[in-house]
Amino acid sequence: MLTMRILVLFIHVTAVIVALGGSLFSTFALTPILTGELEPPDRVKVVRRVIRRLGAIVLSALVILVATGMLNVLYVGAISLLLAIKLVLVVVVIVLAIHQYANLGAKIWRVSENGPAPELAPLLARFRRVGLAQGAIVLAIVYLSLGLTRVAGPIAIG
Amino acid sequence: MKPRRPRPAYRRWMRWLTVIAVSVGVISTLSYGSGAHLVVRYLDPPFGRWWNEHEFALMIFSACALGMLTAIRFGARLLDDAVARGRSASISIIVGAVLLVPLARLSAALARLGWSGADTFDTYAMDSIVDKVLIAGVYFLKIACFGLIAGLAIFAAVAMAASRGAAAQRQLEK
Repeated sequence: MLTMRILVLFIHVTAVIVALGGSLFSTFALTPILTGELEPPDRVKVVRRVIRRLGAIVLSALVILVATGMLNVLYVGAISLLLAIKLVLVVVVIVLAIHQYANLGAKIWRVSENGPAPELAPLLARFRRVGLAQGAIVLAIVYLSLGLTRVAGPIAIG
Repeated sequence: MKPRRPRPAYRRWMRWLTVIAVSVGVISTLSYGSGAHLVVRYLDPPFGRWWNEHEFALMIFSACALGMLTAIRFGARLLDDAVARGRSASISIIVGAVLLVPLARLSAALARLGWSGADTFDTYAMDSIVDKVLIAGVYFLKIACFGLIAGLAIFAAVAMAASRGAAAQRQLEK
């Protein structure tokens, strides 16, 4: 049966899939293919637009995640140690996402305005590193969440 | 000696708002925890009545506002572009102000939850004044933490839009 609680959880999980899936696709599928298939000027054009669009998607997903996450905690009805650790990691992920998309992403957008530039490569490398760190922390959060759903009462699965 | 650059207007605003949130938060938390509204009622009955009715609301709103302001200040430090930083901070403050009431109520409900799921205010009425002040203080900090998470999320969304706006503005100026 579809209850408000399940709906909130559904939106929460969907937002994780969108945010994490988008980042993973960009890092492991799109970027290597672009490097192999396109010449630097065309690649830069695509990369800067992908970063900008992905930034909007990931950061919007983060807002939805926080909003539905807070409602989820209310439904779970307890703040356990696992949840406290998860919340700290969530803060770290949001900080990394702001740094990655709103700071590095904006810099990449500015630097690549007139095509490839020498300072672009280190910025893209940093962007990728921050993205990977963020992805790893999100996976840790997902793992902690599995623990939470199994420990919590009425919504527990299995 | 280098002349000091004037601070941007949003930083002055944020500083003042933070000072107000801390002051109101400390006073209302101490008053709520220690039951000081009785003294205020004795000194000025009409104001004491108003204070007694609103001190809890002032406590949760100031805690949530403090958390959000801290998040916005911290988030702004992450951006190198001064135009995007100022714009993001200003818009985040406005969005935060609009969302303050529902967010404060949600954070207050979340902050009541204890480790075991029991209401942390269960035994509040029977506790001593020192315990009550401590419980109210921890409650204030927990609300501020939830406000901080919400504030960071608001800033993240706004910063992305603001960096686009800053880039568009630069292009127009060119």
